[in-house]
Amino acid sequence: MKHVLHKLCLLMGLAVLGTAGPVIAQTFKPSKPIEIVVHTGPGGGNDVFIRAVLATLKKDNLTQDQFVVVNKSGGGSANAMNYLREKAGDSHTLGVYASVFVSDVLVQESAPLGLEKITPVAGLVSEPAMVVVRSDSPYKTMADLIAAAKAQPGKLKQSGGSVLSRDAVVRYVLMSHTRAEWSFISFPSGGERVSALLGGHVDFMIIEPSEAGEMIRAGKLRPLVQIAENKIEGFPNVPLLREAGFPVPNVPQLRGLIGPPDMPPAAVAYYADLFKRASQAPAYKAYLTSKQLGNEYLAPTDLRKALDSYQVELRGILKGAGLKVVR
Amino acid sequence: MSGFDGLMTGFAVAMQWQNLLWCVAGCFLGTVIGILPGLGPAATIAILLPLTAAMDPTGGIIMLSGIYYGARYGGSTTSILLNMPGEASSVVSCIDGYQMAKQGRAGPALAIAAIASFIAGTVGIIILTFLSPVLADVALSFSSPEFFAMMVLGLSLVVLLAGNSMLKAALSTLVGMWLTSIGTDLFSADSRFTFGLSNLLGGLDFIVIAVGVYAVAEIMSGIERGDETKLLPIPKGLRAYLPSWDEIKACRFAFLNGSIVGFFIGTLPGASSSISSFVSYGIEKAVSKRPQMFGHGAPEGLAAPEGANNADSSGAFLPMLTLGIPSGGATAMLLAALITWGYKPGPLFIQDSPELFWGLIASMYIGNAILFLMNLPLVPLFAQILRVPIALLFPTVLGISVVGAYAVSGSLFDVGTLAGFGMLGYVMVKLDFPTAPLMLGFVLGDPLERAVRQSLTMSQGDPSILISRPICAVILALAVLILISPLFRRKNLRTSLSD
Amino acid sequence: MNHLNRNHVFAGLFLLALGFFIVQQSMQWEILGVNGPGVGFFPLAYGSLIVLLALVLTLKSIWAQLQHKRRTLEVNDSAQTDPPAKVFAALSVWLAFAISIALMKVIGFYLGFGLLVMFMTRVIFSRESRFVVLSGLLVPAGFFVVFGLLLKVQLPVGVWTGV
Repeated sequence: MKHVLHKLCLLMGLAVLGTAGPVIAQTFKPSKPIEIVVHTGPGGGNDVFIRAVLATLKKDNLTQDQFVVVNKSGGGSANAMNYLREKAGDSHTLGVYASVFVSDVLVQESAPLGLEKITPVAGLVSEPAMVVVRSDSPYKTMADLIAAAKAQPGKLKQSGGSVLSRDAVVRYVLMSHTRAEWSFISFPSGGERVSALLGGHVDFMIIEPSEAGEMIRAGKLRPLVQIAENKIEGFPNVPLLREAGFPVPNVPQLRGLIGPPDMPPAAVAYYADLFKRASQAPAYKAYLTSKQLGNEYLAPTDLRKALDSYQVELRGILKGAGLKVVR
Repeated sequence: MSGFDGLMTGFAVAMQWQNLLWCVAGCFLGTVIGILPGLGPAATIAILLPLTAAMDPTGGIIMLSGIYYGARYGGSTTSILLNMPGEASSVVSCIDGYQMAKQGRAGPALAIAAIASFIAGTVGIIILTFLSPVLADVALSFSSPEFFAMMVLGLSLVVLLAGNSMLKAALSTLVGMWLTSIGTDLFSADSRFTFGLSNLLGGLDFIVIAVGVYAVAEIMSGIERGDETKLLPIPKGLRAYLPSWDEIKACRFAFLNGSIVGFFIGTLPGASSSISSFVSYGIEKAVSKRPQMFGHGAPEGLAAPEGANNADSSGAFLPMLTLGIPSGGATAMLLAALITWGYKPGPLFIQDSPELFWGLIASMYIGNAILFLMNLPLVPLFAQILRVPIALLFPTVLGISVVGAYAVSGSLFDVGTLAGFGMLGYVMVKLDFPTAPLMLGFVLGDPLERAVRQSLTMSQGDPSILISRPICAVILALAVLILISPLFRRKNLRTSLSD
Repeated sequence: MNHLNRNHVFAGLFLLALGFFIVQQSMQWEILGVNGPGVGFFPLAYGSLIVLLALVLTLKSIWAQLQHKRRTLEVNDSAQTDPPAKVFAALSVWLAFAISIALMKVIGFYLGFGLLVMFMTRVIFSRESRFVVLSGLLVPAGFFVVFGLLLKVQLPVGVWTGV
């Protein structure tokens, strides 16, 4: 009798373990190509970035999964966010975010999705920037530039993107810190911004090192400061903003991956792990170095914190700049 | 390296058999993409980029560039045969091209488009070869005030596109300008006329409006007319597929006009490709001895914009290769490709990588010739599309329109918008409102507004910046001339009629 | 000036309303800011012009109508001699087009387009059933080959059908 009872208990125990096993060891594996949504058209910043990153994943042999880049441009991040909202709960959809995703939510009344609904997957890079002037400009340091701006408020001109772009945010931050004032001229494309500077129609601009590198090397542009946490490689003589005497908070251009609302945690873990391995793999790292992107991997929980704190910071900056913040 | 030496080196590179093959492949693919709305060179280059990463860079950039300028050749085919623009820059070709096809001259129309494209492309590349550094500086001296002047010039052309009712044309233009302001304002992040729809935050897309107002509306009109099975008169015999000598002579100035205007506007980053075709068309009509023929099948009305959109793509290479500045999505992708291969596009590019630069330029001559040879014999083949029974052709055109609209941002919202504009186009035709000014207003409205606001910020509120700079003053004077030109014409007409 | 008829009166009134709407909306925004024209400046400008020109159009059309009525002995206005049946056909194609687009949301591109093809070949062009069914199958199939397979263009995917 005892034997039978023992055997029965053993069998029941095994049965319980048997059903619990898959729950404990549950892993996700993509069963179809994964869509990665980009908020620009082909050739735009995030588009070029993610395509290159996906290419490095192949080179480093990190995964056999198929990825498909889907362009959902329009309204800044609105169209892309809309698409993610439609794909709630899906395990095979990702999106590439940029800082504009955070600012759009703050100012767009009809924004389709709040940041709190989005599933953070992985922070990837932070992109630094530099303040540049033409090489024949009289300003040799940032201090020169700010002094000139203070002397004649509104006279100096900066070319940049929309009033929510990183260049604009840096401007608000700097202007409120230094009490200087200069005007901001929005151009929709990077090409126009650089042309405006090169043609002498504006005095300076904030530009990514990958775009400006060649102009600087050719002697057409002069960098004044770097806008980054850590010095960018290749520009040893260019001080950081805080080193140049402007201890303002850094305004990074963040790029990384998010997922639709209610994304299953197993899927999130899978992708987070994949890109974590990527951040340590040679081809990926080489690409980041070549484009002077800061390799700053963030796990999902860290990314959530980073996005939330950035949203709070940005809300303060935009309000202070007089923009209408709706959230 | 002087232009000529460089070119010789370049030809040596471009004539290597594998580079020739890549050139053919790119041109062919480009033509196909140009024909079909829904696929643009930027998207195709983006898709092919990872595949080309393993290629030899010279062959790769030759092929990808071939896709870019090849698309300009293909765009005219559907514009002429079906009134459906395959590409934003082909919209203007619909105006006279489709009318020519309706008159049974589809073959000559396609041929003239090919010839104009070839001449303009060649002229553009020649200018690129020998005048790059000079023109790069000239292009840089153009900024918002000059842009403003150019937009005013463009809008003054509405006077010439008016047909017989200036009132209706003006209303069309203004509505077009309203439509383009829908969306998020660049300068203040306010959203205008979006009715709370997040889909409208990015504004309306030009190709969706164009395909709706031209292609979809034309189908509705065709059904109303009760067109019979054979859509349009089919040319008979090979001679009917070729333009007459008179027609080619009429286009003499148009070939030149398209090349120069197209190239120059193409060099300006921020000028969309449709601007050059509109401006070129307008200038052609302004100087023509028979302006009343425009809009009714004037071959030069087709040759000018067709040439312009090809020269425009050559022009776009100027800032790309001399400064590393992209002019749009496609050139941005080409730059990304160069960077992937380890090149550094920028002011030092020509110095650092002369073989690639000159090889690319030389391949553009070859590509242009290849495209011409590919497209001209295909004219009778393309014209056969007209043999397809209307019962199948019309639904197919609607299907292609859907594909094209959906490809804009992958949302059915755009397809719905397409249908809406189809209805608008139909109503406009019924009420005899000219549609070209609507397109013109849409294309120019936004750049005009931006240019004004940018200029005034530059001058800290002083409006004289818009007329005081020399280039601006010249262009604005031209605009005024164009605006008052109809008065002279009517005078001449009256005096000649009364004789 | 070309022929203006009753429809132009309606068009004029519609444009007038549009113009007023634009002007009203633009008043809510900044017209002249620190740095020059604000968000509302241009809409106000062209909105006002639309109001003005639409008014002219409406009045001219009404005048033309009155002239015409005074002069004519005919029963029918010449601009309304379009056989209503043909206009109806054109409008029904548009309606079918719009409906098929709405359906594409749930049944996807190929099925929605197939239905449109069949509608047009049957109702508009009065083809026999065999032709209708064949074209309803083959034309979307052709699209699949060209766009789906060869060019790999993304096409609307239906919520129900997943295709």
